Amino acid sequence: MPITFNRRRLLETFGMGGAAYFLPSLRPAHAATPPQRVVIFYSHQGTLPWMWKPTGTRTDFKLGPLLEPLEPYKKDLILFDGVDFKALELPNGKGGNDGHATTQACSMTANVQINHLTNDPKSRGKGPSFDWFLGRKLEAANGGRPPTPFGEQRFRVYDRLGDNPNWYRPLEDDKNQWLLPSVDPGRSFDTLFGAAMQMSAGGDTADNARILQRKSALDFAVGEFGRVANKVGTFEKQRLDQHAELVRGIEKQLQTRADSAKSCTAPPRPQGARSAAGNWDFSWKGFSDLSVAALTCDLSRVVFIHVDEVAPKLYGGINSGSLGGIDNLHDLVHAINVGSKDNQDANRLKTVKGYYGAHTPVFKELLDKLAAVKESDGKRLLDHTAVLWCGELPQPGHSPHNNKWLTAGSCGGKLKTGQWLNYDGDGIVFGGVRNNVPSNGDVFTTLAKAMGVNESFGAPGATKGPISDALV
Amino acid sequence: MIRITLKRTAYDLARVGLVGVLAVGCTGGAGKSASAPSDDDGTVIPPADEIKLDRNPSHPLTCNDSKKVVTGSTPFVRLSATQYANTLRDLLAPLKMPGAPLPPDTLRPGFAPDDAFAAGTDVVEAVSSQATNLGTLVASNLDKLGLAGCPPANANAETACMDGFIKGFVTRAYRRPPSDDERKAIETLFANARKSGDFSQAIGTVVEGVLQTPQFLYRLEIGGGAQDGSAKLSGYEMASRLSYLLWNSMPDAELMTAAGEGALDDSKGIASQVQRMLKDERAKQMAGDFVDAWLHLDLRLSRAAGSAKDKTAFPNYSDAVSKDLVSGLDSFIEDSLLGDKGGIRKLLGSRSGWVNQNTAPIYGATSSGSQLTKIELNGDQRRGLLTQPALMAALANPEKHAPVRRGVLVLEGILCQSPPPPPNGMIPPQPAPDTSVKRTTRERLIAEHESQGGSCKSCHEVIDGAGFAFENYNAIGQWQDKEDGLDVNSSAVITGTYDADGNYKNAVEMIDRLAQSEQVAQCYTETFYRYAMARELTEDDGCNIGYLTDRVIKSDSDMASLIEALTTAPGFRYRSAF
Repeated sequence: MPITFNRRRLLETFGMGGAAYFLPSLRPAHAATPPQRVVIFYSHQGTLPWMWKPTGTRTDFKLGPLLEPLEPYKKDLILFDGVDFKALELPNGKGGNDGHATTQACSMTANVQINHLTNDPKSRGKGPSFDWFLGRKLEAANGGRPPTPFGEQRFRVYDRLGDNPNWYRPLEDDKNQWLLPSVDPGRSFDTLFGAAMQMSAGGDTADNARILQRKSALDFAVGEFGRVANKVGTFEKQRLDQHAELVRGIEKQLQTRADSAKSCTAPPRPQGARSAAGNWDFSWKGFSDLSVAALTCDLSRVVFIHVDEVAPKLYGGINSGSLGGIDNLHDLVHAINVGSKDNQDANRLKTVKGYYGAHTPVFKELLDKLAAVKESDGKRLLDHTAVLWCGELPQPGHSPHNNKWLTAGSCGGKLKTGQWLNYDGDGIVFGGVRNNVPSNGDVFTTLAKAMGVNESFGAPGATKGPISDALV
Repeated sequence: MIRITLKRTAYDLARVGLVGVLAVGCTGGAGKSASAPSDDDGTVIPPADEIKLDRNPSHPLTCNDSKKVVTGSTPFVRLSATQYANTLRDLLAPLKMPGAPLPPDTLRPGFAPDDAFAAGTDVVEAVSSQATNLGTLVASNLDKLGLAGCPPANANAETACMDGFIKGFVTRAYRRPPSDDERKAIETLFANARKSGDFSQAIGTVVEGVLQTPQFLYRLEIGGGAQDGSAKLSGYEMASRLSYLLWNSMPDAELMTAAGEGALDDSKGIASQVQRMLKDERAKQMAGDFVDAWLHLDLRLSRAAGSAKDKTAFPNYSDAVSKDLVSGLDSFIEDSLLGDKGGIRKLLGSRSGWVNQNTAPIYGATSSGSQLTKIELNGDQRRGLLTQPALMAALANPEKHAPVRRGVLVLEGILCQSPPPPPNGMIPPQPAPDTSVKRTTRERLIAEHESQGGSCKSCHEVIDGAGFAFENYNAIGQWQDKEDGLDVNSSAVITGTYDADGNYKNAVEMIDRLAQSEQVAQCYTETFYRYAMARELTEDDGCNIGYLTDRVIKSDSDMASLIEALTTAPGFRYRSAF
């Protein structure tokens, strides 16, 4: 039945502050039960374990100083205190260099590190990463079609100018091809909400004609990819096939995108631009708003937000003069004593605390936005979401052990929230193997199970299965 | 066969980015090579024993058989964001491209693993969205594109217009005439679209489709007459190699004509086109793009921004000033590489600067007006690229200059010498700074690295030895004789090189030596070779790099001569066979 096309009914209130987020669900009214979603918030350099760690008991605990801003959400949290990257303990776990590269390679793949090509930064794990895995499983559960108009959304809040430097690329598909996040919220907005803008103004008949036209253009392009791919070698064919698959994906989704454009209201396009002066405000606000809008409109159910170093203004920046000449975060976090709050240079410790501490309000801001959206069942969007905060290191030392990860939101009531799951028996661990602690693969498998995917994720031998304590 | 990685990755960038990237490494691989084709009359690489291979002690070149045509992996390269925008600009002229271009590329082919350039979701989505917009644009402006028979006066004239469209638009979009099969597919797409829409809508659909094909989005090189593992590029494929190397855009009409007439099948024809193309305004972009790729300037320059500097220390250093400094740097690079006698020696040794009223105080010069003007700089203080204020400011912190970054640039960027990466694994806590003694940056670093001892100290002696030459340039690239009231010591030392070792009293003296260094000439040649080939290099590329370095040195480093020799060499004219 034709639906009257309601063009760009802009939400004036969107993005104007916390209260403005108490929005009705923007999803199509026919969806009675809100879907479950996963958001991954990925930060760098680990944390200060002794300031992250709660005190108290499993269900009655006080958050550590670094997490204090999350106090209003304590009942929504599961603190995974001491997750190991167990794939790196396997006989072939470490493929090359050590440090951030190795742990980054495993962080999202829960798999062994590989040296993919010769002048590779050696930072890749054996793919895929969890976001890709989950996206494909949700597709499979939906009869081979993505359940939403768009697949996984990958964003990178990159304060500096430039684009996806070749360090910190933790996402890959199953062929170990990097999945590069968008660094431009404006561009991502155009992708997610641009479909409606490309619709004709002539009502459904014209819209349908336009969709057919686009479909035939995409069909043609896919055909040309096939034509060329048949003439070339394996490497080129693989690259062309990967591209063609993405084009095919757009084609498959044209109708659902057009439908969503009619039933969902777009937020305003992120205002601003990337600049050498720093992109934090534009980038973080743009991507966090866009994430919430995409989930609210059910345009996607898997969102990855890669937060590069938070903006210097949030913690005072690196003042090399008072830090003994240290001029970047990496060197700074390595310059402190990771094992103890004692025996530290006061200025350095203060800056490091500031850096780690600055993430929590940022993370909370994301939770605020997710909590402000009320869905059709009267619950918060946050209640239907699992927001995982993870990263590549447990603390400033290069260790794959004892990572401090947490989730917020119960993912539709599937996660048993309000818990501190303490696996940190020995304190900081740099080497050796810790038994009876979960791996990052176990955490991901838990999230998959919460999303209705009963499959293990990560390297065999490094993932035991879902963490039953975390599941309802 | 050993595939050697000649990648130079900015050490300090890797430090900040935390993933240490080794500069040299060897693993098994499949570089391809073949016997020299009989029909080739291009650059002749001399016998292996006549090629000098030892100009870089940290990675000597290898050359076993100089007669082999080295084609490496020759992957298909997707148009970069810049190339995509430039190509659409030229393809659609005089229409203006609406909307945003592709996401920017930081990496460039040849400077990262070949498989780092697959098209991601955001690229494919952006291309698709743009194609839709451009379909509408072309459909409604068909009369402005100069296509034969278009727009059609009536229904009977549609076939003629479609023919003109394929010859005039699709041929240029594909950078070659479409094959019969391709033509049929386009006509089918048009015919189907015409059934449900008017002529112009149907053309719009074809444009939308064509702009999403691999023929448009990739630099497809199939080659022909495969023999011994390599295949010669067609004239049209050569035209694209040349135009994307020299212009970062599609071939123009003259190049397409030359390709169609077979003029690019021999080295004279190629050389003639190269000479013409280098005089074109579009070649200037190549110079800047090459240096960006080589020295990672595009990433580094964000540190030079006015807003990145300490306002108390540099109250007058604004974003407007830094923007002018960067524009001056761009003009300098263009002139130094492509102007009269352009090349590595001029790039390092030039005394020119492009200055205006905003930037003159930083150069220590005088200038009025906002226009950047070429002037002769104080030869005691400035010398070429390495003392350009924008670069010095980029290799600095908000308040203070950064000798380590500067040293790494000299060693890794200019000499292609690999400084060791920072120690892996557990990094020991650094000692707390001793603030009781007033020290220059140099003195402080020496004290710090001294106290760390071990591998930190030994490596930093090498890195800092070169970086200390620039102590006279503060965090915004301005000359300083004193730092915090203390005398500046800019003496420097370089060790471990083929021909640039020595003690230098300052940057100018060191740069004058570097400008004459054969190791530097090889580093520059190798890097440009990588840029031009747009692929991972193999050990077999050593013959070509060694020989081209000879040419560079003999031609007094003339860049046009290097480009001509490179583009007429078999390695540039062949690809690995499928």
